[in-house]
Amino acid sequence: MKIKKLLTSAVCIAACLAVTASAGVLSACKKPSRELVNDIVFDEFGDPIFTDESGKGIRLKIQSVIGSPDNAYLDMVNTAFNDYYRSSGLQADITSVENGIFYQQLANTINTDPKNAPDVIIFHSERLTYFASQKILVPMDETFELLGENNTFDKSNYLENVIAECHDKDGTLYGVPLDVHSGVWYVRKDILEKNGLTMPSTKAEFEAVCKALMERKAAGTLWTRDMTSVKTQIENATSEQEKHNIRERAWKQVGAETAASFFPVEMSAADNIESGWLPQTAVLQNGGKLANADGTPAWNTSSGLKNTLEMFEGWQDKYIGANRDNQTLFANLGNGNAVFGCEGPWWMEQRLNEYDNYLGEGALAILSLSGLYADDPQSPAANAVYGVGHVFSIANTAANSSATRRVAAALYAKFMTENAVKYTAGGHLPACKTVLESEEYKTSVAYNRYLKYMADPADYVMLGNTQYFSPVYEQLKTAYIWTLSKNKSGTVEEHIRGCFEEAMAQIRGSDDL
Amino acid sequence: MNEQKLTTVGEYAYKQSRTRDFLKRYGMALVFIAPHLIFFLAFCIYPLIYGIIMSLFKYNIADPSQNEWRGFGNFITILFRADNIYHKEFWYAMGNTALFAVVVVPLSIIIPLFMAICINAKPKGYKLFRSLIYLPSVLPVSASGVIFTALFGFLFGYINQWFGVSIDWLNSNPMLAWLVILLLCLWGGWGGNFIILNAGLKNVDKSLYEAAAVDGCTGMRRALAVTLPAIKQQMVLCIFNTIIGYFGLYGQIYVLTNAGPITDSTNHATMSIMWYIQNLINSGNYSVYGMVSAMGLILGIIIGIITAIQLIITRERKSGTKRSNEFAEYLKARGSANE
Amino acid sequence: MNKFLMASLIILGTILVLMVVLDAVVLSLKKRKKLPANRIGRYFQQNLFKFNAFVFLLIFCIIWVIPLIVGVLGSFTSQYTFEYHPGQLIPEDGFTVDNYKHFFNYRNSASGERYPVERWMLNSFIVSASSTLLYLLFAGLSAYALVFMKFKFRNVLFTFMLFTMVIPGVATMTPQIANMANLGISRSLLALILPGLGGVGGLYLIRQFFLGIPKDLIESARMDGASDFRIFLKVVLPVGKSVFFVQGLFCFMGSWNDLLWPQIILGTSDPSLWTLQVGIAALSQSKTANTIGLNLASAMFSAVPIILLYIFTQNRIIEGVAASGVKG
Repeated sequence: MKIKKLLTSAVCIAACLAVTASAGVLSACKKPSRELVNDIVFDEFGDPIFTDESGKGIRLKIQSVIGSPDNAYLDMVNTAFNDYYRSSGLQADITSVENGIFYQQLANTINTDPKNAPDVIIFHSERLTYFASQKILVPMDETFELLGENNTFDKSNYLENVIAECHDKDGTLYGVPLDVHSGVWYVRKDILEKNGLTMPSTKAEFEAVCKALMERKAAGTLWTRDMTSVKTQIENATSEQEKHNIRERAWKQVGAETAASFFPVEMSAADNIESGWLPQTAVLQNGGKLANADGTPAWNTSSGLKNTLEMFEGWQDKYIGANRDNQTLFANLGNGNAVFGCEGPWWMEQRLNEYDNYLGEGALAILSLSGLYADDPQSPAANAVYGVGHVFSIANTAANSSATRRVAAALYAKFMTENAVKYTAGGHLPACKTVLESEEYKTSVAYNRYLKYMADPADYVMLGNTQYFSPVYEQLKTAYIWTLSKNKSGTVEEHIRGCFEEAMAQIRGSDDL
Repeated sequence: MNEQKLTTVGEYAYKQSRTRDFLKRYGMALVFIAPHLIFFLAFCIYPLIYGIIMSLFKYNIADPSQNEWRGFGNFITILFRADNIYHKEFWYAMGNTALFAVVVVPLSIIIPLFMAICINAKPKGYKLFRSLIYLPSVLPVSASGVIFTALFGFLFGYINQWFGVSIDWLNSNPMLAWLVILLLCLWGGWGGNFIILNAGLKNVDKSLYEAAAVDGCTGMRRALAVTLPAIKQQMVLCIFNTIIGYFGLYGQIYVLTNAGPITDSTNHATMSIMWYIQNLINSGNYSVYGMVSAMGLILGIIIGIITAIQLIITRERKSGTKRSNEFAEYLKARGSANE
Repeated sequence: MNKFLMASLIILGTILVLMVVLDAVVLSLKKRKKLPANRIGRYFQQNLFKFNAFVFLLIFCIIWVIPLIVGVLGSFTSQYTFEYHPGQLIPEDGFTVDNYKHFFNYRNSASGERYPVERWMLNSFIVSASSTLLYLLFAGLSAYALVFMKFKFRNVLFTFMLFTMVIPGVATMTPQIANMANLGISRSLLALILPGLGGVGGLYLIRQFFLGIPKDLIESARMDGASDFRIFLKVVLPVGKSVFFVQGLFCFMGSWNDLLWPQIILGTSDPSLWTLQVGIAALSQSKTANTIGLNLASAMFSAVPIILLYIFTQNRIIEGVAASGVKG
């Protein structure tokens, strides 16, 4: 009898747990989509009121994938927003979330823990289509319609190529673009000039410059200069003349024995930032596409990609120093062991300041990827540069809680993108024409430093809308990384095909789930 | 009501006492077990059942309206569908993990055993040696991982500089990367085995040694011939603990290589099964969770099978001890005969 | 090759060779019974193996602590040395505490606020200590009932518990997150404490130990009319002190070293909620070219409490590990 009792109670407990668990799963299956009640109240000027009867305002929660060092600049814009809307009771708290866990946590938080979920998310626009298909985001257009006459949203105020990425595959707008940016080559211009060379602007010129540098190294007539060795002397120098002398004395003429570790280009198979820009740009500059209309990868047929990767493969141990990795880029540029290094634009401010200070104005120059990987430099596509952008989107948690919150989020996205001048100091090009054309931006240090170096933001090409971001993009990166890796066999062409097949297998697998 | 009326006083009293007795015995047991049992049910069993149910679905964490019943579809995909990427990657990671475990096991038995024998000879300062040997095992993997990154880093790494070589340990040849992972696993991992084996040796009957010494066995030979059979139980425990432990290999790979480097055939040459599952969770594919649960369950079943084998082997352990006892007696007999 | 390293390798090699030679000499002398009868001769007669073991252990331990030395010294090495003169254990430009200063004054680049390192320390301590104490209490009671109280199915129950141990944590991770949210404790330290309280591993260890306590002890206490609580407190706890202590240490260390789960639960929005490991992981995420010094400093910082704990309790820990093997 006791056995029976215990057995029954055990079965009961197990059954209860099973029932609750399956109820959890099943109820999750049929979550009714809540009907949105339009609770927006407008004041006499036609602006929405964000305070309720008790005078309590709205505090927006923003999660951003923008990390150090550029999130400091974004925060300045956020402060401006808070100042502007303080009297209306609208405030925003921005937190930056580490890239690696942002995307995983987002869905989980929104689904299981709406109280802590963000109202607005700032992320890379390539994922927008997927997020929209997962119903994490709400459409922008209908939100702006709720916002009334005073705050209309004008799509044409944003660069066409950038805002195109903010639509999902059916053409619904899901986000407001903040910026567009792309990797750049950091170039030791002083070394180039001292050796009588000029900045390259095409593939052939780039290779010729590298060749010339290596020839000078072989002949023992290569001029180079170590910035790190003059740092303390410059800091102690009292006059400009003295600094000048120190800088001039730092020049050394070296050869194969004295500068064995000198190689013009700094690239590596380690997961450097360049893998996110160079192969993509190579595809686009030769008229290729990154993704098809159905979202599958299209880069496998690009001859430009093949040619460029084969070129890089040939550069290995010839122009690219062996044994380098992502830790060494600025170290080798600094001590004059390299002339070209590809990195993210967010370093520009710090690095340009550093080199201007120690080696004199213009010692370090920025070379945009524009035109560098086109087989035919005259073709219309040759100036295309692969760019990524950050985008503001409204998470469905905000939308589900109240219409007022939702329009507050839309207003935030609009304000932040239209007033992003300060943010551009971080090396990103604004996507909003208001910013691009504003006097404040044109006179800013950011404009003079970045826009003149980088490609015209209108020339930037985004990934294109694909819900298969990861297969399309990561496999292309892999093809590039493999090209420079140390243990490989087979040809570039075969490997591109292999990566393409892997991407397709991933797509098939996830469609098949 | 009728029935109750019919019960005699004696029966009633008996029943009452039985109920009281039942309550006294089981009530108390329940009070003792309940706190742990409640947490066990709430935080181990409930998620497990939830996970099992999830594994029967295409489960989407972002948009529940996309959930779809799959039956055993996820399991069938993982086990049998050779053209599917989840099948391929799962078994590739599984193979890596199993192979690594098989390579690690002999090393993490032999070296600790050797050291344990040395310690067991009780040389000067053996306590200090013992605690030094176990020390790395208590460090968090994140800390020991950073130390090994500093040691085997390519340009800033101490090893390359000390030996005047220039080897990209973690980023070129997968075998080198595996080697570093192995070293980290050994350095930070086999302290437990060492202590367990040492304890096993300590418990071996002293007279065994003496008998063996008289018999002319010396040093290492004596240690091996006499002690190995006697500590069979500990050996089996260590072997299986190590195997099962390395099926959970994650932290070392995460800090050192993050499953790199890329080779011709794979992007994740040092991928372990736990890393793969973790990576799927973080991949940003929100519909993969049913598949992930299924993978976790299959992994659990495999570990369960290994555990079962261990249990079967340890059942025999009595015969192991018996044999060593026989050996001891034999030695003693021979020893006395020689005298 | 580095001269210092070369020298030390040569020294170690020489010691080994000398040892082998000495062994050979002693053994051959022994065979011919020609060992000198003085003190040295007697020592080698009796303690040759001990002597060899000592040499082996010495060499092995020297190699064994190298990573630790590297960790400690590296955390005091400047970034300049790492970038331009790597491999120097004792850097030319001297040791520096910059890495630690950097660690303690690390500012959130978004808000400009200093990361509350000491708060992380406190959080870690709260979580580790409370989960350890609660777990010991619950598992201890449960193990007592499983061993000393007779009721049907106790072995079935226990075996069932053991079987659930083989399911890896990742399989139940997502439901567990939902579980926490349903209980309303995600984003709180409670979510780090509670799930661990249902663990079976420690219960197993404690139960194994209890099995070794003579049943007569409990029975005689029962005969004296002591209640089960009394027996648990007065008889079993004192006898099982060591296993509780060891299990407590394991719990504490596991909880202290845990990274993945706290990262998921605590999120990234509020740094004052983080535990030490989460914070350190966040600090080492920075994009800067060379942060190995900072990484080492933070690693050392997180390891120091554990190392201290180990130094003061090493004998107990070692006994505990040993016991788990002997009885398992």
